Amino acid sequence: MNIDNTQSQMRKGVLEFCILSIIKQGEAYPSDIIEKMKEAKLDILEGTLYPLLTRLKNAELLSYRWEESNSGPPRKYFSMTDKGEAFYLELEKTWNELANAVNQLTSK
Amino acid sequence: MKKIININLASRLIPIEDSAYEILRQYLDSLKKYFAREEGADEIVSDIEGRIAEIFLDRIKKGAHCITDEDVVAVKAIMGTPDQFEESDETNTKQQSASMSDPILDSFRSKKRLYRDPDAKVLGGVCGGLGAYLNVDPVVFRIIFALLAIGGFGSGILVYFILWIVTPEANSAAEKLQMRGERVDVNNIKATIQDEIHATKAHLKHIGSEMRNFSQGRGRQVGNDIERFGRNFFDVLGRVLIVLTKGFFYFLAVVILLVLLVVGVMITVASPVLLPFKDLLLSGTLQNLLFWPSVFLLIGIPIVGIIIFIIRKLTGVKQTSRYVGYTLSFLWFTGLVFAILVSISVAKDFRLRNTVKENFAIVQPSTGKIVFKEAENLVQVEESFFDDDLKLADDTVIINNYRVSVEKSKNDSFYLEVQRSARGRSISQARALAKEISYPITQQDTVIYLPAGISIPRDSKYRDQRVRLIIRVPVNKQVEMDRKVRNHYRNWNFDWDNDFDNHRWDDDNGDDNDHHSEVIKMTNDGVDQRNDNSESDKDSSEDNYRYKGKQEHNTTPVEDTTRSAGATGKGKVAFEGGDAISYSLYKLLS
Repeated sequence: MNIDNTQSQMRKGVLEFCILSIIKQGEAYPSDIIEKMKEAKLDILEGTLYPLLTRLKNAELLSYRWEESNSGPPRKYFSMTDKGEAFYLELEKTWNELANAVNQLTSK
Repeated sequence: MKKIININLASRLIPIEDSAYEILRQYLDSLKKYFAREEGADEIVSDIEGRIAEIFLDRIKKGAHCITDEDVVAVKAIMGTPDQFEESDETNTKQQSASMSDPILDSFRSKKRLYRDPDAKVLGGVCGGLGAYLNVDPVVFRIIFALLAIGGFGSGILVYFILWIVTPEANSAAEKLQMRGERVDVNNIKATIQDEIHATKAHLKHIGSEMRNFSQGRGRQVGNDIERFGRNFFDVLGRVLIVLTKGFFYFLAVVILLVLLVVGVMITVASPVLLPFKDLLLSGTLQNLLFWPSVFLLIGIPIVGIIIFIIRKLTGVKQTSRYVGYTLSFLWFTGLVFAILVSISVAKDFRLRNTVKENFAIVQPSTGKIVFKEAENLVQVEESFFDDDLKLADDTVIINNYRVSVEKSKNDSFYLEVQRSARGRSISQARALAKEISYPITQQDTVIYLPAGISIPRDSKYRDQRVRLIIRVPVNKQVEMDRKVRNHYRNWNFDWDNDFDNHRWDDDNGDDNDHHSEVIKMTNDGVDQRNDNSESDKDSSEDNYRYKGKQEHNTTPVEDTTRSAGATGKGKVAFEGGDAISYSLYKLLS
């Protein structure tokens, strides 16, 4: 067993949940998402974020709009769809259950 | 000193150093390749490009004159490389990629693979890659290719280009390690990356650890695949079917390839032999100019295409330039167009037929019977084709294309009409070719010797030259033909334009019996023919050099024997006399 590996596996499981929760708080640009995750010490590569967002968008959990930017090309701002909201609530429920269970088991 | 170029990235103008551009281009290519298996690949890559453009523009805003190598490397570190994605994206993408690619192929991937080496290239890096693959100095291969290119009729060039097309270039660190067959571990990756890009130590460490995870992840993934194999029987069955179908197509491709190769080799081997045919058929610069290109393109291009296909499949290379396919198809169609042009042009040369008629003055026989025999060949034949139907001599082409027909004579004399005909682009050309035909007939007593074929000068063209002999026989007189002449005999209402060979008598099975001949008697109603095979048998012990005219029952036995004896005795002399006469006649005609 490799510690790095297990850690990254753990992180990955909650990645989509985290991204969705960031977008749920309001429209977000990919760099914003990265920044927020960095603040929370959850490092991911930007290159992995884009395909993830595209997948969520294609699953109609997210939608986006273009916004002109004065510092470069137009930016994509992602927001959550109704379907995404429902999806998020499901994930949140699961997460809470899981977190409770883990807390209960590890805090002994 | 470095060159700065302007690029358009996500519709933004960005000045970038030449070397930095090269790194960026390779990086974006690797991303494209990596995301190709993902849905919405273009969108992902253009999103990433947009983000990179944004970072670069930010750099420039902060005062940088242009984008440098360091900037690109930094961007790569932020965005991550495909190898890193592979590791971190394992749970998502891996499953997809595993189901898409063959687990068998995957396990092969960690072995040594043939790449082109961009660091040791003169032309395309093929020799460098071969050298790395076989652990030999690339110079050895360069010399071999150069020798083959010069001594092997350009085969070296062909092989080189095929290898160039089918082998991928080793761009990433992992690919370069695979090329050399080195173990993909931390130290090796580090060393390779140190060679490739000049980055900070921290960066190297980062990639190194990522790589370690990557290689371990690979092992686990293969394990997963094996597990899946055991779990899902139908999945396995489906895969087996796919492999079988694939195998079938490979088999088909190999068979087609072999057939084409054999045809190609045969044409190459036979080309000196076929050359006379080409010269006989083709006239004019257009036809001669387009003939060989069309042959080479029509046969060579599919060979090259299938070789590329097979090698590509065997090495598991997915991506190659589609322009290769376009070019090959274009070249093949060019060959096809050439071939059609040549065919049309040749067909035009056969458009019109013209006939020249001539009477051969027969010395009327006292016996009321004329014998037709085929003279032996006078000319030294060099090559012979189509079961002796076409013979090539030094200065002559002999075509076994003459026909004999028998008609009723209007008076008491025998007549022999010779009709020579040929085809051509125009009537006058056809006529000239018909006149060129040499068909020397000689008469010796009651025997008329026909040449074994019609002759045309070697530098002339084959335009379906034919000779038709019409023998006009008076009523109650007879004509006899030996076996060879009889092969050319047709019914008298024979249609000139019909294909001769359809009606040709098939008596090849009588080869061992050279004696049966045919006697035709002219009656008021037309031809009355009888075979006298049975009678000829008793002559077989005698000189079978040629048939001694066998009479029918209505002639007296005494007369018969004298005539036969005379014919036997004189046979050789008569023939040699015939030689001289026919030769002079041939000279006279030509």
